[in-house]
Amino acid sequence: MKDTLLLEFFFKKNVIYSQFKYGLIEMHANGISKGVLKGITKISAILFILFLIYISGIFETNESYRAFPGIGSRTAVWIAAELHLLFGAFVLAVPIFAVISEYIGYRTKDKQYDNLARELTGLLVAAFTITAIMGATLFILVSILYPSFFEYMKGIFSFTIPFYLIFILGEVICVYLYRYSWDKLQDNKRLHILIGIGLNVFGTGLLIIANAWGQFMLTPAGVNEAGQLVSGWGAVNNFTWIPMNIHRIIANVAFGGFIVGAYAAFKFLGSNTKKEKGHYDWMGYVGNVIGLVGLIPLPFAGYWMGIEIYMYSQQLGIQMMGGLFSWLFVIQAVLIGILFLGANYYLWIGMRRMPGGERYAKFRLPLAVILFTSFAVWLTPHTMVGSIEELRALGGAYHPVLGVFGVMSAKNTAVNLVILSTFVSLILYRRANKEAVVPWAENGKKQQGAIILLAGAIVLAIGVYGYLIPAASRVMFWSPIQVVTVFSTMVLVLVIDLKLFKGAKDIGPIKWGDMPPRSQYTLFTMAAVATLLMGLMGYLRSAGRENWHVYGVLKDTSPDFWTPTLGSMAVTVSLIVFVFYLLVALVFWLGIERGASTEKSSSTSIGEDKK
Amino acid sequence: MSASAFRKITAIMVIWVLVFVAVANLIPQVEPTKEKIESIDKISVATGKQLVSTRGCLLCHSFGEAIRAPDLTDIGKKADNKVPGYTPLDYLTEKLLIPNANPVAGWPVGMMPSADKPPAALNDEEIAAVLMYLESLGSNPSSETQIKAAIDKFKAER
Repeated sequence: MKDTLLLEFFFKKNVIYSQFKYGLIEMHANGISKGVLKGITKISAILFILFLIYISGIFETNESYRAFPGIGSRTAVWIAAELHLLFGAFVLAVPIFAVISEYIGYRTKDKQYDNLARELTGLLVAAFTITAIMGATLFILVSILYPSFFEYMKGIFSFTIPFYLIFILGEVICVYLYRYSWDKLQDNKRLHILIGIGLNVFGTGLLIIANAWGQFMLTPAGVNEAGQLVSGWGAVNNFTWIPMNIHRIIANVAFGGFIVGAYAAFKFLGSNTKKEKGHYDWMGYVGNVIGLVGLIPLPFAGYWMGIEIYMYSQQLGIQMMGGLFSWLFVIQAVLIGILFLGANYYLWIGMRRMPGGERYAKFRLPLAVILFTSFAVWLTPHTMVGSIEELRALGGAYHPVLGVFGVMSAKNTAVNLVILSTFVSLILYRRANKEAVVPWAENGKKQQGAIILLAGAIVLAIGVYGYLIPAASRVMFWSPIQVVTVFSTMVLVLVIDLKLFKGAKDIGPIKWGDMPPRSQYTLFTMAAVATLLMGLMGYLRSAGRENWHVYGVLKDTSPDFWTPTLGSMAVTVSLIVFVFYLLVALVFWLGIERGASTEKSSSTSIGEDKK
Repeated sequence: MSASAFRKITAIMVIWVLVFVAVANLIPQVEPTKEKIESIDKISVATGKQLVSTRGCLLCHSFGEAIRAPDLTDIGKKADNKVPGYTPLDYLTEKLLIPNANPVAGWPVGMMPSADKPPAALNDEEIAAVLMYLESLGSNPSSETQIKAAIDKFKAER
């Protein structure tokens, strides 16, 4: 079969049609439809139960709220929503990772990528079921505990429900088809990749619809002053919908990378053979790189969303970022700091398994200094929240000494420098066991160094200039210039790097598996911290509205309307993360068990994959 | 996987969770107001002070240093003659209900929402209490009747 590019593949409808037809017949003959039917039945049963609950009216009430025993309604919904969101991120992130990996394997004929994708897909089925159960729990809890709010949201977004159901059905079919047809479609990889792409399209569609609901609560649009629907599309396309879609898609890529890293570390530590250790070390490395690729643009996506929130309502923006929740961003800085430091640390350890990596050891200290200093600035609080008396005693809401580092100009500069430093670590890692052979090698390296230094200087200069200009000019013009500087530098340096190391001499092969256990614990750290970070920001999106279900439109007058303190939030989020990882361990275990049983039942085809 | 590796993984998860909980508990905690202020019993300086503290006014305004919005120190006194022909009560009432009228020099227009609109969404009694408190800062507050009349007047002017 002629090897074509994926884009060509998309547009050749006749190819898709014939492959699809052939594939359906083949799948039926191979009994794949059984697995898919099982999946559809499972999810349909959950949806049917929800439908019965909905039409039965057994929970109808004239009350606006009901109380959940013990922990209260707010915490009950919080736990269900957060677990659903975390597993939702898992089942969206893993397929992105798996399909890209499968495609690379298909294009390069490197079986290792195909094995990686196959192994990850084994985790999907159990995770998908848990996601559906959590979603159903959330639906039931919200409709029972917050009936008037539920009715209001239903009135606004009922037109999106058919789309949501279609996407659920599409995703269910694709998940199970993708999983159960893996071995049978080994000779029809294009169709299998197409199913994987379909899985991602449906999954992303679900995310985008759910984002419209969630972001409407924060920045409502399409309704009049009385909260009545004026435009359905306006309600969907609210101020923060698009930035949130972008933010979550990128974040899911990062989360997927870190989860895959944790899975690889889990398997690496349990491996008994050198070959297995090598495979899982490589998987952990891929997970970390993908995690980093997602992590690097995330602060910028977050910044864009912040701007949109301010444009929607100055008060909401100030409340979320400069007032009541300003200290939350100190915790966020700590967590993101750990993520970036962890990713860099893992890369630096990884260079030790690459012959020639020691040449770049001298860069570790200066990079570490930049990273730590930048984080110190990043976690400096901005506005001090206090009572009238406390603010009077302080002489204002800024700290007299630290205030200078707490402003956004300093923080943006710090974030840009962190990203630039991490990129430098990645570039050094890329060349660790290589020696450029092009005639302009030395000049090329000097040019790369000069470009990076110049970018750092520009970022710093804009950071200082930011103190002297009005906030509007900084936010809307100079801070984006900082971002453009860093991104264009990364692109330019990477382009030079690709040409510089084209046909480069290998100093020696990478010793996959030759990693100390602490590197694997770093991968666990990153997965745990990424999950805590998601929990933290989930709290902000909800708590930032304070006593509003829908900000400025529908007030929360329930007994739980108050905003939990950051301390009590941390306890709840930690418990959620703990439960999440218990369930993830179950998913890993089921994935491994199923993988083992599939290997036994089809040892011929899979045995060929194993190196 | 060896038991030792499993223990270490569990320990790592627990350590990071504890770091998270510790950091979140070590930083200052802003205790939310759990009591609802559905309707206030009495229009007073004390109630107004509580509302200013709890309804988000201090996110932008402050005492001693003007950051995002004008400083409130002695605002009851400073409000006198800010706009020709206006009493301090007129000026403050207009600022709460029609914030973009007669903008304050040096401050951007359109930043402040009307006090009776979200996010503060104060009712007339609450606005009256806030006005009484603001007037009391450096001056003597007007009577309840005068304040209510001023609210009606500026609401009618919108």
